[in-house]
Amino acid sequence: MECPLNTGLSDELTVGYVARTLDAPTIAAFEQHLAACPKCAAVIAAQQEVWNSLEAWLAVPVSPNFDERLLRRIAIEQRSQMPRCPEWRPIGPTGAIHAGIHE
Amino acid sequence: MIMTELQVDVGAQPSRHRGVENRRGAVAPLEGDAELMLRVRGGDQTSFGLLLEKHRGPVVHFLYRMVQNHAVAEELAQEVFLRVYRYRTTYQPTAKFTTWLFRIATHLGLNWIRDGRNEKLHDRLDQQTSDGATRQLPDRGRTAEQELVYQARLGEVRQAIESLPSKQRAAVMMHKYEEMEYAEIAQVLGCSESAVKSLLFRAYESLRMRLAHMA
Repeated sequence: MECPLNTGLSDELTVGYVARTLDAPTIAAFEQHLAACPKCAAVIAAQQEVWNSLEAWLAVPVSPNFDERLLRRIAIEQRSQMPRCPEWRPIGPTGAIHAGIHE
Repeated sequence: MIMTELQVDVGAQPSRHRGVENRRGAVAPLEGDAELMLRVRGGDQTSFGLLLEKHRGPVVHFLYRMVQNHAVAEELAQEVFLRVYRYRTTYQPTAKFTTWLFRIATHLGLNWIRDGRNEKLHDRLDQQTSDGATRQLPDRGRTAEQELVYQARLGEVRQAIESLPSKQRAAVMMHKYEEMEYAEIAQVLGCSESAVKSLLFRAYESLRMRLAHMA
């Protein structure tokens, strides 16, 4: 394998190798190159350090009331979208029934 | 019908098994996400609960690493799922559900960062939760000295991530923690695959330089 640092493929191979997304033949060829190329080996070591550091950054657990709060927000939104009921008023002198909508 | 409860076990740990194929190979799903979302579109609230169960953890964790504040991350995550529910009637499975989900999450996260609300609101590692309980990281059997070293390294990692431009940050989060392929990240960010590679490779190069002394 020609040195990836000379072919412009260094980044893709470096990231892919450490993320374990390269296919087996590429891994084999790249590892053969790494054994003979201290520059590439140093880049891999640095990328592995980054990967391990990111791995160690644990996320805080989701709050136990997350769903409850979400449901409340959804319910509030749904209620705000419901059509308002007409208000029926007593029959007036003309016998007409007046209906109005609360403002 | 007003949603009053979901058929979901709120006490369960959020699962990473999202029923979608990631870089490491497919996880056998009970139900595809798109199928569940189509049921939500049809009024099935149980399916919304299942989607929430599967994805709340990853969405909250993604936003937490983007904005580095747990309370804000949960507020933004709530907004993500609120929008999923709000737009359920117009959902079309033209892309993977996770692509749509993380597109919403990334949009909200990037907006929050852009709007300059990232003003030293980072969680301190010993910050108390709203109910007074101290939030601590698992100690994994570390000695006190090891814990100090761990906290120092963690602080450097968080600062290094924060120093990245926001789109590079989002790309790294999706690539590293959500194990998304370049193509899916491109769909989330609305750019080409080559643009995603450029974002990622520049981000990782920056991180290598910033964290080199930790080796």
